[in-house]
Amino acid sequence: MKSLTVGTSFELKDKKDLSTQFTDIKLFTDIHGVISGSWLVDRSGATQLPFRTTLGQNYLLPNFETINNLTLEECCVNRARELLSSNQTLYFLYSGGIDSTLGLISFINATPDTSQIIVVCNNESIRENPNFYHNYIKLNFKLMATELFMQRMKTQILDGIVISCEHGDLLYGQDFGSVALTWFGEEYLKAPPTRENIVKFFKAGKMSTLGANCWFDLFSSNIHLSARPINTVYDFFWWTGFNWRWQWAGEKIKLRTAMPINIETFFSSLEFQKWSVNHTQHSIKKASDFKYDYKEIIFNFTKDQEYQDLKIKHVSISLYYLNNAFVAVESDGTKLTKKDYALINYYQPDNFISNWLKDNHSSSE
Amino acid sequence: MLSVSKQYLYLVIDQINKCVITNTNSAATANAVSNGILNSSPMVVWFPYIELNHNIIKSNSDENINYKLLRQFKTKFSNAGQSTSDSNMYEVVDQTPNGRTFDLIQMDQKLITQEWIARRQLGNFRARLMIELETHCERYLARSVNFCGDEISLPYIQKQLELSNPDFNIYSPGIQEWADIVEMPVEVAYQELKMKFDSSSISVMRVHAIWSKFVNKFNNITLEDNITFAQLFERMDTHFIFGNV
Repeated sequence: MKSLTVGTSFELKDKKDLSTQFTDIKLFTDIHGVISGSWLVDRSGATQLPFRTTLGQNYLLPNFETINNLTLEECCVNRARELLSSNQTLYFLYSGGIDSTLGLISFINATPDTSQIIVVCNNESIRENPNFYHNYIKLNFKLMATELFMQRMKTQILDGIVISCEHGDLLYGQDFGSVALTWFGEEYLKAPPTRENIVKFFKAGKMSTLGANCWFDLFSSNIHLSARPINTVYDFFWWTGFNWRWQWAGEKIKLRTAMPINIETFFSSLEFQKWSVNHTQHSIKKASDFKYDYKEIIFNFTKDQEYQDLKIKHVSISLYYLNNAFVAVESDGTKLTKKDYALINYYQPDNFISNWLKDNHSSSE
Repeated sequence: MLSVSKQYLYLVIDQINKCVITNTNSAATANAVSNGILNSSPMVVWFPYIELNHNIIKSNSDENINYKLLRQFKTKFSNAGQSTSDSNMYEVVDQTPNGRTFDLIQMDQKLITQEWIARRQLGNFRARLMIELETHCERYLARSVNFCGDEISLPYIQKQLELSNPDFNIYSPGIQEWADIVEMPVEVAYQELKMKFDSSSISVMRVHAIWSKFVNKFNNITLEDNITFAQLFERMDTHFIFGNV
């Protein structure tokens, strides 16, 4: 039976009949109004969604008992040293955002010799953090245009490791958190993660009552496996990212490459994950309060007060602009184009949502 | 560029009756529409050549407003060497009503048949599509415009980059001068210019490809297909942002 490691659900927008025919697929589609594009996979492997997906061994929910408790700064430098120790060229995808700025600072802190690193960037990267570009990047690193890099990735096997900063958001639980802050304010994030509170968020994201309840139960189904106590709405949102979107964050760039690619995400080390589990969020009153710890390290390095006080997360996607992609990758590495892709081929009737419907449909309507 | 003025009418003219099928907002969109309508030609006419007593803009949404394009040649011999090809698609008259080189006159009512109205409707529909498509392209092209003199400077920058070889510490005079003015080490200047040049060039080429793809696609859509404007553009931004996914 064929299985995916990463997929996309664009097809479900075009083929409404799939959603009409299968109620579980309809509810599955509901989440994509809130998490656009993400392909969710349970890192514990316990909960199955409607489309067969293989959990990568490197994405399994870790056992953190043997991992040291380190400061964020220690995690950063250790990770930079680990990647440098490969002695390969490191193509660092720099969007100019908070995560990739912290990543580059980590390399500068880890080594005086940055010749091993090529910073992949473009005008958007400069615009996101102009002071950092002019004061540090262009003087210390070799550069390559983002567009040229993406073009090469399609046709050549790169002689090195590609470093992306994808998991930086997920250590923080930011995506749902920042949306919820805008919609409902700070107090909501501190509230207990009850059904009522979470369903309220999903429904504000235009999910049906049935879908909102189903997804609350789905995300809660394995929450007891979280090494971090889930006491607040914000913790709950952290879990939806840390557990459910981790594989997507690591794999999605493979949709953009025809050739095999050696890719690492900077923030995926076990030390970072342990830090995330233990991390207590500072008070969040406004969007620029997110990633306070990341920004603190950046400030200590750059002394850029304006950036520290005002910088917010900006969706950095110029990497993808006008760049055709595959729509799915199967577990054997086969990459599928739109014309070769039919989600129904991966449908598994025995999944959490269909079983939930059997148990709850009548009571939830 | 500074030399570009937009005081033009960009018309698509029927090669048989010399009447206006539609008008667009640029030479590229006029060409694109004309490419999809048999026996039509794009015509660019300087706006002040034409009297303002017409409603050519409104004719894009009202197929009952129809015009023929005239060009005057005051002497019998002055049109020697002319031919009604692309760029020269008009009816020749001795004298236009406004006395200027070009003019638009009301189309002969006898020529306004159902077939003509259908041709106008198709032209207007396609013109709307191409104008919207060009608007999308311009929005993404704007990312690559960093200097008002780009059109002149980029070919020269490309040449200067090609004359340099950072592996051997060779930098062309243009790069050295640029670095000197910006007060930047020459090797830093080289890689910044190269990064921006590559980024812009690849982005523009991708937009060109998207433009070509959708012009062809739109020119294969007829009104009988009953595809709405909204349906055609529903996912256009997704296409520009994420490519063909």
